[in-house]
Amino acid sequence: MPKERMTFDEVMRQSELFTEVADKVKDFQLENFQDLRKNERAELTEIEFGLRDVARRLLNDATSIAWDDMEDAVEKISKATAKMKKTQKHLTSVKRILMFATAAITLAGAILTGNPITIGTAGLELIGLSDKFAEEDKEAAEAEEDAVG
Amino acid sequence: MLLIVTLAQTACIDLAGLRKFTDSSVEAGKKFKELAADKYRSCAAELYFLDTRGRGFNEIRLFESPDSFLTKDTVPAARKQQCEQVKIDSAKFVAANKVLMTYLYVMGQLAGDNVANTDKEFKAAKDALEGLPGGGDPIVGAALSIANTITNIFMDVQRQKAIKKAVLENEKHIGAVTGGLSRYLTTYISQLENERGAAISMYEFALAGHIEFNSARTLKTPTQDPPIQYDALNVVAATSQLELEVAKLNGRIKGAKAFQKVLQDITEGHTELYAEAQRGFNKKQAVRIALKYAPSIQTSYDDIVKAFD
Repeated sequence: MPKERMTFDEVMRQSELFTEVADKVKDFQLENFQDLRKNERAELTEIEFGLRDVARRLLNDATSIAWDDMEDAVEKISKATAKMKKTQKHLTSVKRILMFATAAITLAGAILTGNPITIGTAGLELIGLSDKFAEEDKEAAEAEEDAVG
Repeated sequence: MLLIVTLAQTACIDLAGLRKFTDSSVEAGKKFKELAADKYRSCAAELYFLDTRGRGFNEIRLFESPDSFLTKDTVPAARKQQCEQVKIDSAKFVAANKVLMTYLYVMGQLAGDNVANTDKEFKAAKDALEGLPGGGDPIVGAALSIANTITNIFMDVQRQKAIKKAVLENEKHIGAVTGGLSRYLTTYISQLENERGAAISMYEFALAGHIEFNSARTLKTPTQDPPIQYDALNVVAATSQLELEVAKLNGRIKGAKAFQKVLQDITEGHTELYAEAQRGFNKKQAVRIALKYAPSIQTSYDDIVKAFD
């Protein structure tokens, strides 16, 4: 059975996705600039730059990255990064952004080292967070509806 | 460029047009080196703009050069390393591009019965590719195959036959090299977009700091004059600086895309000539193929020059 390989286009998409999440963190900081404390700004900047580092590394490696021995890791990465895209709309607080971005960076580190076990664990953590935020927002919306009703 | 091969074989060709086509193609190829160097510059510039972000408007300076910025202690070593890696990786693509362009140049010269001379850069590119560690990188293998064809052409007495043979032999290698170069350019375009985003964000954060300072001043009536970094004149200067920067980067993105179009035209042109060679290499058909791609390469070349001159 042939081993699965991540294509150039897929690696580029991963890189763009990490840039998108970094932009989301940056936009959050700009939109809430005057409400954020100095340490919160510093934390957000640090996490944003970390995401950009990952995007840059993927970009640099895209033309030569070796994706052998990945087996079903590619599928796990695809699932986790699909969640990353969906979760962006739920990144509405500093706490959530920090939790989510840290998980994303962990996943990126796993992708770059190519360790399928670490990829699986990091992917699951990110998916779990994503589901948690979505569930919390759903409950909050329902509670708001009840209060209005 | 390879299309010249067939153009020159036809008696009723417009030699002036042929020369223009040759020059454009060779010049377009030369620009790749600049694009590759610019990818390294762009990586460093992105880091510079992110590094400068927290400062006020009067602290914003134009990015000077990667070498002066990347030696600064404020840049984390891991990030510096990322840009250094860009420089190292780019060398392989520069060498592969040189081989591709030499192949096309030599074929064109031979078609015109000229004595083709390859330059020292070609020899250096071939040596560089041969010196790379193994690992089965497709672009390296393909470029080396093309380089060997160029060397063999000189040993073949019947040059016109050698050209046809080279077209038949190198079709898959041309595709591998142009494909690899095009993917490299995709990463370059993405790098430029990231640099543009970083430049804009530097400005946005300076503006946010400016607004915050002014609103605090309005509310608290400070006892001292505002520091110079919040001078409104600096906002105006920074705005025009940013506009210039963004326009330059947009031009380079367009130039890189134009280079991708040149590569696409070379690939498609070569594929059509390959099919023609398989059928026997009818001159009239080959000229038709040449004329189909020449204007497009010329247009792309103009866009590349505009972006990098």
